[in-house]
Amino acid sequence: MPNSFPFKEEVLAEREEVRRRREEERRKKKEGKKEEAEGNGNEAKGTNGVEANGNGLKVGLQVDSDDETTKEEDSDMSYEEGSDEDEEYLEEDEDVEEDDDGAAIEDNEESEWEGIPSTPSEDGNGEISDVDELTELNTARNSAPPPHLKAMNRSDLLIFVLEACAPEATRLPDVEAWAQKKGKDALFVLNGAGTHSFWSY
Amino acid sequence: MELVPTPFGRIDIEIVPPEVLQAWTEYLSSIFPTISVLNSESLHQHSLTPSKSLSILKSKIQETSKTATLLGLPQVGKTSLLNDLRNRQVQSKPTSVLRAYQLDNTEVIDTPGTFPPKLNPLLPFLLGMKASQENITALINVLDVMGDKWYKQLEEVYEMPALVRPMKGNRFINPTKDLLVHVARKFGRVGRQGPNLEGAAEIVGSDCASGKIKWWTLPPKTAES
Repeated sequence: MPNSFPFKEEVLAEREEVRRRREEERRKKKEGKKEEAEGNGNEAKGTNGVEANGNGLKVGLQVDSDDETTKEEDSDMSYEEGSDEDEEYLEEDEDVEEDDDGAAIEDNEESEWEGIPSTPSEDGNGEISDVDELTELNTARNSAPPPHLKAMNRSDLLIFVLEACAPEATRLPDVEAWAQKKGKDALFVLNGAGTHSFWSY
Repeated sequence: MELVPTPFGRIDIEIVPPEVLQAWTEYLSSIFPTISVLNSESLHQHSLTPSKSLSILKSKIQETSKTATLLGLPQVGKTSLLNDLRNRQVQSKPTSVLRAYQLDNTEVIDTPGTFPPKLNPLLPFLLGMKASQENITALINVLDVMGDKWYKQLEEVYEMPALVRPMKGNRFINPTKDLLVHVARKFGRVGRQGPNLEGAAEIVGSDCASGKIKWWTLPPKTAES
């Protein structure tokens, strides 16, 4: 920021204040967590919660009063606090990831097979054979099992829906080959013939 | 094959004429049984009506299977077809999960769209994806097979002089570049480094996807003959 900038000092002071407030909030959170962790060990939950809250507020007020008086100390502290911040962020992120992953997996399991009860194969090792089939299919997303395979295995008729304009472009040759290999009945449906309505512009 | 202006600013465009549909049905029947479904009343005299074609498909499904799975690329109309079969008028959103529906005694499973490992260069014109120069070359090849009047369609839509036609063995003739240069000039896609051909390709691609430029492909045997 150039020296000629009007209200330079005020702007810088404001920024410092914002930074300081954020640091304080983080410090409060951290201390609150520590107290909770210590309190959970022996004492009853209700009383601990109240004490911890009280301490947190007191600490927060004290820090406020310190910060208002000493700016230089804060600027030095901010760097040290930065490392703590990183640690905190990492901890938080890890927690979030764990939670998210857990939820995502559960969601997928529910939604992917909604309405379709899974039937294990006769061999008893359905999962492994599914993955093997998958590598044969070599779909675009080769790394993850396509959700359709289970449905395809279960059904006696595969209906390939093709665009009437360009049926060849909308075919799925690998899935067709799989159907022929497995002896499944299949059907091509040329969809989209007739008139199409579009918004004129 | 006429443009029919309808109220509310919509136009109905005939996509595939009956003879082409018949040719495709014959070609694909050599691989698997094929049924063509008319999704709306046609401007041409097709041998089937939308309701009749649907009832044929429905009876075929119920005869052959207890469980059937609908497969195909995204936006080819799997869910819409299933809704038509179930006689439900639902404005369908892109399908993201497998869903099973009961069609009388048959269970029909609707699936999200699948892409083949190797994408066809004509797909952007069907799915409204971003088209590149390679895609336009594929379109030019389709138009070349279909005949001279399809070039004239392009010339009329973009109001440009006669396009050069592809000529075998002459590498200096590049109809794709010719078309894209004209489109880039018309739409002001010319920068310091010359016409922006990729930008022009996107324009042509979106016009094909929206139906402004009519096109369809012919089955391989017909193309050869």
